[in-house]
Amino acid sequence: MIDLSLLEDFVMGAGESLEEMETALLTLESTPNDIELLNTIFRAIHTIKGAAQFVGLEKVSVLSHASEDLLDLLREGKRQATSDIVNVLIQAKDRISTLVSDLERTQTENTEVDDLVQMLHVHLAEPKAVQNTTEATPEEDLLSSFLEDETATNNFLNDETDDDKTLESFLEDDTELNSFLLDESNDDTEIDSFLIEIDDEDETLESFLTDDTELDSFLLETKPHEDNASFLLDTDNSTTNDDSADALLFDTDEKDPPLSTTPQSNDAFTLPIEEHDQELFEIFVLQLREKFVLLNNNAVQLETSYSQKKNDLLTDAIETLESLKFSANYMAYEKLTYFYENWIEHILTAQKKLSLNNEAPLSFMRENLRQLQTIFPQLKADIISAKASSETDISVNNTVEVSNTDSVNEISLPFDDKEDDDDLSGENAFIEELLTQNKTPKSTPAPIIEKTPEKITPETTPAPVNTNKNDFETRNSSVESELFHKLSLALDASVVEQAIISEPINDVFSALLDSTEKQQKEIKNTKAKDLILDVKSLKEVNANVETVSPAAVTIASTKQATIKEKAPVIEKTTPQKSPLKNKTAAPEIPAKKVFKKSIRVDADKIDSLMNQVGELIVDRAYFFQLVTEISELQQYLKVTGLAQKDLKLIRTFAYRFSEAILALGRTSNALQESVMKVRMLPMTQLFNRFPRLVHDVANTNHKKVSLKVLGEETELDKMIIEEIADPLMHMIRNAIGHGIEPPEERLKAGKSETGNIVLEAYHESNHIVIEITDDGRGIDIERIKDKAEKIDLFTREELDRMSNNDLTRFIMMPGFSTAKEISSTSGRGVGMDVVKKNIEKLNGTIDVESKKGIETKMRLKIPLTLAIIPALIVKVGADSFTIPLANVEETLRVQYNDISIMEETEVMYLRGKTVPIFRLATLFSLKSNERADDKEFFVVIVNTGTQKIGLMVDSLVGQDEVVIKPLADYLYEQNCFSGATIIGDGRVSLIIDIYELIAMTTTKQINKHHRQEKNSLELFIDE
Amino acid sequence: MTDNYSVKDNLSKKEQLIQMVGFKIDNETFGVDILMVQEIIRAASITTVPNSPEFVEGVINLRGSIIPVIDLRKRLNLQPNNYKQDTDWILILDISGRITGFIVDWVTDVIKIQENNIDPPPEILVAGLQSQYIRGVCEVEGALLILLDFTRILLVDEMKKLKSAAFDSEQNTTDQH
Repeated sequence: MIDLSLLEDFVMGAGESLEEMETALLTLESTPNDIELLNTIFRAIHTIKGAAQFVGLEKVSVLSHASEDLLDLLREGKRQATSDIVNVLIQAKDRISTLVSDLERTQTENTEVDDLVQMLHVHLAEPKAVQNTTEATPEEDLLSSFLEDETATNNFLNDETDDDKTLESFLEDDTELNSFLLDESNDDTEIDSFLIEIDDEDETLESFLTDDTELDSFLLETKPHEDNASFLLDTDNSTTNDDSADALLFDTDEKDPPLSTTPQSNDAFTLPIEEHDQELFEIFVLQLREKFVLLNNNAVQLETSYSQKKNDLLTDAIETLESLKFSANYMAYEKLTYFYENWIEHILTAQKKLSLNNEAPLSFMRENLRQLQTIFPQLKADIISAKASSETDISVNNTVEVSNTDSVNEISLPFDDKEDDDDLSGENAFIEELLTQNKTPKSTPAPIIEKTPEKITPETTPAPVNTNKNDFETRNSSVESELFHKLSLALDASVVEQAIISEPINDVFSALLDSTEKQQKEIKNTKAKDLILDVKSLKEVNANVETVSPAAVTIASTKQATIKEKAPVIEKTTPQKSPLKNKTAAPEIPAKKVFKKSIRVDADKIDSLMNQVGELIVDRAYFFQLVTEISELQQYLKVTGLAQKDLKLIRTFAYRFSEAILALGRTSNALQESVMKVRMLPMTQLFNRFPRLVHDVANTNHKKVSLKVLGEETELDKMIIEEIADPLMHMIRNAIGHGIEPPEERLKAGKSETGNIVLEAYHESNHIVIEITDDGRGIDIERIKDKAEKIDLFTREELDRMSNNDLTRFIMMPGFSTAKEISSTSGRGVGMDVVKKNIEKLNGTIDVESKKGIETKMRLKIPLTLAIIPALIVKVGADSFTIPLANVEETLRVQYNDISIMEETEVMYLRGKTVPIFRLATLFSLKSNERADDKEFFVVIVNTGTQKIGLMVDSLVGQDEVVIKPLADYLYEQNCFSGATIIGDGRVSLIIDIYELIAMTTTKQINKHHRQEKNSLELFIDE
Repeated sequence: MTDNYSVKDNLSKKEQLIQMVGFKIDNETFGVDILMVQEIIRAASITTVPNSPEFVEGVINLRGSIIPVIDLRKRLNLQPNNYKQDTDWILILDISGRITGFIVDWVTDVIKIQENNIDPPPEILVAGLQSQYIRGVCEVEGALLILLDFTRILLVDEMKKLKSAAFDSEQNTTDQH
């Protein structure tokens, strides 16, 4: 049941998260202990999981859930992020990517995930077994050490000299217990026995177990060890577990939603879990809210509509409920799921009755809605807002208000659901069940007191136990008080005790709530102490824990340093949770994520905007043309002897006209720039792919490579980013595969074992320059010479005369380099011609510099945008041609005698170098205007980065911004035009593709060579 | 549009009237389905494209779009024109999304013919034209109207082949001197 409407958002969101995750994962390999990094990864995968769940993507959720579990272990320090684990996580990430692209294409999840999920589970389970054998501590010992810690805690409580630091270390202590618990919970049976034992032990222990945070993490940790993780997704409500411990665990988990939704966290270690459930819960509530409004409207309409319509409405209602049921089931709210199921059944029966034309009682819709409302009082707000439009029964609101009188309760709203639900179901069987479920909660009184110190730190506000009690209280005043009575009577004495102490606890709680609204530090220093005093007085109720153990304090202080480090993490994540805590609180912006205000726009829309700007540029050129024409006209009128007075009129007009054009020019320039900027994206998106590539390629080649990325914030047209991704990837692969030497060789050469690749991007006027530098073995010039000679490209003497740069350029000649012959020794050149072609397609240039044994530097120079380029317009005969300015090196006026002929080609000497000259008129078979007696020519020197030639033209028209427009495809074939543009006079001017042009001339040259050789050979034979 | 079509569908297919734009090259009358004709222009300044197939006259600027123009006479290998007109007629056709201009001698008028009057192209050459480019022939007022298959005329592969041949010969000629 994939929600297609949400799929698009999911695909986009997941893509971002996955990217973030990959970057972090790769960094993780080098810094396996970076908690912040782990948190980032966790957040990413968690976001994916939450969203996938919401949309209804089973495979993605299963896989992300398993990865999440593994990450959790890493975060808690249970596991080292070995390269094995990182690799599995990377694989999982890749699989999710595949699934996402599946979804994008086919809207279904085609790829299997089971193998990876199993792999993840293997990693999850593995070290635990090891721990088991090594530790082998008897259960009893563990329990007693529990006790010890507990007493230490109490001792700590008694300590008068507590400040916030020690409080934090106290938290740390708890974490220890927590991890201890986790270690212990190796498998289900153990958990089972453990729980039973705990039950048998004294109350302290029991209460310890019921400490919500710990229990929660404990429970969550154990989940993955059950037969399958997918039970979470089980839609048919049958989260049946053969193991009784499982059942118990589930019930408690379910029973304790408060902790999972606790707005603030107790410490850095349990935080992930809370965050996890928090987010899920938020999604859950959000969905519930939407659906509730739907259902409510539905119910209102039901009462007024006729039977056929009713049937439709009921079908709608079932649909809504089904999705609600699904999410409730996912949240493991059994009762709620059951509640929905009942509801659906009711509706189905009603529908049947309706179809038989019988009147069916539909009051149950209202009733159920009311119940649901009481379960989730936060729905109230929605109802009130909905009331304006739909005439909702006032009494419904009243009910909600009754159950919602307590402000504390309002804050803990989400926590109520389970118990309320139990009550509301109104069936004694439920209560009975609840009683068994409440086994754990019944031991709450003790922990409340013991755990309260935690609450003093501002990060750790509402202990869920409180909420339970608040619920109980509220329940007294609520409609369901009767049920509650039954319930409370059935609970044992400890619950009664709980009820007694609940009053003061409540005070503490509300005081805390007040304080959280103030500065956190302030709380730490002032309120905390007051609260502690409160807690101390409460503590006296509990006679269980009195023993003093200073050891715990010592342990605590040693952990202080670590806690300090983790503190910022807490602070960062706290605000994200607060919105749920209190609806009235101003929305806080999460400190971690920096949200840029952005909107997603269809790329086509931007393209069309770009086209229109292009048109504007053409129009502007036309106006400029008009200005020149007017001044010509002026000149003409002057000659024809127009009266000075009349002439002045025209002159004034011409002046104003040109002013207006200039203004238009400025505005259109600014517009063009802005539109261009819209298309600009930072290179980050592209560069982020490369760490992964380097990692993979280096691994397969058994090389050590570190990649340094510079200037990733440089912005570039999105289209170009996409176009250069492949060439760049290829070049980096080359750099690792052929450039960087194996570690041994590097050491021998006196280099560090790890090769370095530097990827750098920066702006250079209207271009972006990307440099890929490796400190590898460089390009072997001799090899290139040999090869060039072998394929008869040039003679040995010619080659010897060539500069190294010219020679290295050969690697980019098509057909010059073949992988087999070159890669084994000097490397490079594999597919470089393809790279060059791709770059040239973008009007870019590529340059290679290499110092043998030291480094190789590949330099790409690419125009910032494709659509509008500055260009030089030249004339040949009657036609004008456009040469991209990117390729123009200089324009020269050349004397005829500067040109000499060399091997049937015209050449000229330019600053000591020979440059071949080609006549455009000849190349294009055009009629040139030049006369034979002309002594001077215009030559445009064009450069492709690898080659330099001169183009002889009739005249130079000028420089302009031109809009590239495509030509019909059959005009591109074997042609040297990259498009056309419309120049000022409205005529079409073809844009010369310099690369193709040079290729064309080169082929001609080579052909010529071959023909000559053939001829001489034939001559030879003839003789 | 769709309504029109559905009305047409109701008619017997044989009796459907189709409208053709008639045009002439030399003395032959040709027809093209009016739905394909985007517009008819005269006197556009054509920019020649070097190294393009011989029948590609060049490109024109049609309100900001650059449209290739094909000399239909050359494309269909008809007899070269003896005299040069002052201005050409250019039929701008939308051939399955590819906007292309075709130079013809002159455009006559819109001809209505019945679908069942169209005969398949004859085996023999009609007006020196290869039958592959002909969709059918139809007798209108005693004269033969040749319905051209422009999709075939603009078949890209074929054009490419023609072009590379042209390119090669061009190259050979340049090489020779």
